[in-house]
Amino acid sequence: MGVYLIRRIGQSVLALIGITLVAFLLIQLVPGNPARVILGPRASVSAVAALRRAMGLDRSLLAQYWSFLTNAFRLNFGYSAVQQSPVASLLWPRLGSTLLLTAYATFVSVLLAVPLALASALKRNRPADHAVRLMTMVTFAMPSFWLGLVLILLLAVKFTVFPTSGYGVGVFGHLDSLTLPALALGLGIAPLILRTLRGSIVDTLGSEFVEAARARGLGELRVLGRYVLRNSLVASVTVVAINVGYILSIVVVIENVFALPGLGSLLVTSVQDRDFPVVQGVALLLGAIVVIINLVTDLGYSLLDPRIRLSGRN
Amino acid sequence: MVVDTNVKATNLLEVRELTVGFPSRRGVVLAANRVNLSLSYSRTLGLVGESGCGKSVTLRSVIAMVPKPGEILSGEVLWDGRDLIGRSSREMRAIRGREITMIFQDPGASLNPVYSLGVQISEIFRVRLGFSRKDAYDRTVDLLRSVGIPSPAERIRNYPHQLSGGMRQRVMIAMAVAPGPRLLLADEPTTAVDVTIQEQILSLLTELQQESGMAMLLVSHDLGVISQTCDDIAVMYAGYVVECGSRDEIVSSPRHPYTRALLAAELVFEPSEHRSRLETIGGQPPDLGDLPPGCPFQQRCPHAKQECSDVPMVLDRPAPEHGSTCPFMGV
Amino acid sequence: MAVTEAAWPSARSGEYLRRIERLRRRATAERRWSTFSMWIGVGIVVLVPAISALGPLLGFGHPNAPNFSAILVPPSLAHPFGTDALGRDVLSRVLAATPLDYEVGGITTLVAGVIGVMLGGIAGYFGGALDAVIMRIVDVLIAFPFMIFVMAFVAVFGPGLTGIYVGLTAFGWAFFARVTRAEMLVVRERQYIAAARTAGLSSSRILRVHALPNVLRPNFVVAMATMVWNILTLAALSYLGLGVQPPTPEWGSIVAGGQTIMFSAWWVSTLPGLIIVLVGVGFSLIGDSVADRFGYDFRITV
Repeated sequence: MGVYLIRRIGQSVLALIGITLVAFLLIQLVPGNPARVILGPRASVSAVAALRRAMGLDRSLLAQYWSFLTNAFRLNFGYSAVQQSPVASLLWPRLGSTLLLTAYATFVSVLLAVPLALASALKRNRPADHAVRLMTMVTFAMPSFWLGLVLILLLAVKFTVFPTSGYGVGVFGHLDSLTLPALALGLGIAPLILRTLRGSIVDTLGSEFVEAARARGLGELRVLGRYVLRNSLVASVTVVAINVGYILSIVVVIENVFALPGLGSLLVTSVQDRDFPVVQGVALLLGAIVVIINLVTDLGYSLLDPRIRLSGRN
Repeated sequence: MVVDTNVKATNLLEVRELTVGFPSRRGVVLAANRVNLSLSYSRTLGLVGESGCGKSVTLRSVIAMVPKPGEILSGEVLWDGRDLIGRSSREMRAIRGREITMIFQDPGASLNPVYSLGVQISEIFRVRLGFSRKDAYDRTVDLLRSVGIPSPAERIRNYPHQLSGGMRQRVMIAMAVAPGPRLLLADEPTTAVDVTIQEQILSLLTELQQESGMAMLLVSHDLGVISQTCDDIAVMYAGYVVECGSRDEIVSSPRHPYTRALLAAELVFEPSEHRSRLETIGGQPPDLGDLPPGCPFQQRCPHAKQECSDVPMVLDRPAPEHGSTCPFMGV
Repeated sequence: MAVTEAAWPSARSGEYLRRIERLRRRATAERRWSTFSMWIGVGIVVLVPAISALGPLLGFGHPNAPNFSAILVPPSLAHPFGTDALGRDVLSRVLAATPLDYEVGGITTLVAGVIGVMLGGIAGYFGGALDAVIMRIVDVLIAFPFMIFVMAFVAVFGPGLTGIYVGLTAFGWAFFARVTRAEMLVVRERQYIAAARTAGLSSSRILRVHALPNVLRPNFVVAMATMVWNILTLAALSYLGLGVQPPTPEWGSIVAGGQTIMFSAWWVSTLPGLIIVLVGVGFSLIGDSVADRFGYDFRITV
């Protein structure tokens, strides 16, 4: 188990380094002079040269990457010439709302997906199953921003249940404002979760220990809860972890639809402004979140499935 | 609901004309075809036959757990005189796991892999028998000890995958006898276990049975196992019961060619060789969707003749006598 | 039939036979539905650009021409999707955007597919360190948030489609690679044995003749899913103002244009989205029925 732990953490570190490499290379790909791009065509030549030096773009590639990497691990993401501020101080305040929305949305999507997957698996190939599958197909094709707008129209304008945008004040204010975004996100992610979960439940329903449990006369609710769903837990956690990248992608869009002060809206403005350090910083941060979440779930499997705990790997 | 008043409920379980059908591309296939069985209190009845002969389906019909899309089409399952077929699922659930319990072929697959043994076993005591948490725990430890599991108090925290096959089967058996059932259904309990463990399992079952006085319905394709543990035997082929009687009668003077063939195969091959009995008997197992008229065994029977197509597949002597569906075997 | 009803006179059995008949009919209906749904998908996917091409003939030919006498007209017969703040017919704009979305989606899917199949094939066939390196990259890529990835390229290349083209392609190949590698592993086993038996066939010939068809089919399903994904991403980026620039119509940017007036003129934002959903469903139907027909366990939707 210890060996596995070390190996797994090592893999995550490698992945993080890989992400820093990609983020670093981005700025190298910019056609022309990145400093010029940032400052615009009207900036003076000397100002551009000064920025270029400050960004270290005149050094060798390796030296640049080395300082980039070491800075990143010290959580120093550089300086934004556009916003006149260290990138890190732009990122941290916004991290909270992004994470909160992500967690809320994951919660909503699981809430939607689990009962539907269960119903779909139990009534396999009957009308209810077909209806669920059709619904997920249509929902998956819905653009997240469109879904968000439709929800605003329905639940914030027509029936003023939730605020139309913004982040609100205080914990309950936050949650109130985040409900529509979380709903839009949750509906977008639920099809993916449902797909895997339904398959896992169908498999479990056919297994012998479920039959044995029924033969012991245990009630159907107990069988579904402790025997079927509990055994599909690993599958559902896996599918959420796999899709964290997808979830964060949609978060970026939704934050803009609902004008939320998160990393997503920062990213959009900095892409429009061609503010490379900020783009790199957000990419690094969100990429790191994905790696960390995957690591945590991998290590957490042992808690969910005792078969994994002792052999160290499934 | 017909209760035969001529014969008092001397039989704990009576299966009458049980017919179970499964849908197939060619229509309905009868996995069990007018099966008649009777089992007295505290006796053991063995159902023996090759895979696909309908013994497992018959077993599951007793507790109304025929796997979908199969269905019981007709017949009665009289439990202490009351017909179980057509009862509500709630009534059946009350009977399952209390009065009638079941053990399965693959002990590893019958246990919930994510809960410890202690949790799963005490669940029976708490949920089905109404014990308190502490009492359930104590009784679980006693139970494990009674089926021969060493250091039960520690084992209780183990998970199913940490136990050997033989121990898992013991746990399975323990869970089945814990509620004090009057009938134990055993679906190939020794098939998935080592030969060395087989003996232990069988003697454990016999011992438990004698202690509690419960009846047992044992299904196996291994005639050796059946003859070792059962008082009465019913031989099945292609969904029919082709011969039925007491163990001594069947083994010493079989009255059906298929039984004869099974016995012959039993003598020639060691039980440890997992050679299929089919090879010794010759031919393929019957395709239930494509049975010939009359006796289904005629395609492989060494004594087959023209008249076999006209045989009504009915036992010439009803249970508990020694009956056979073959009118040509004599005796 | 294996059994006739006269065999046993049970009322329950008669009803069961009827139920079996119904089940059998339902099974064949399901198979027919799978083919049927594929053709519906094909129909959608072909009809939308076809109608778009016919747009001018049907009177929907001026997506960019403002008409200040018809500002913010609700949906009607003359303007099925209504008009926007500049009086432009929304349906015209939506139809005019179709070729763009198909083009971006199609090209990126095709290029990503070629790259992915090549790299995945190499990884699967040669194995070893090459396989490990390629698959590690694939794993990291698939886990990474794709939107941010593509946005980064937009930042690099500036607003407009260049960044989107590069970004979608640079991300999309990973899925093709993964699927191709899996197929290649299976094929390699088979061909290894076959080649040992029929010595004389060069392995490249075996690969081309036998491996390629097997590999292409699952990649077709991936291609359908990638199309949906890419079109949705393009729409999202245009919505955010990072894709096409006005006045070029694109489904996402049309929706964005309507957001500020959403409370009074709901049709500008909501109706174009339906087209996106429609096209997405079309491609999904095709991909899923192919996956069904050939028994692949990765589907686009459930």
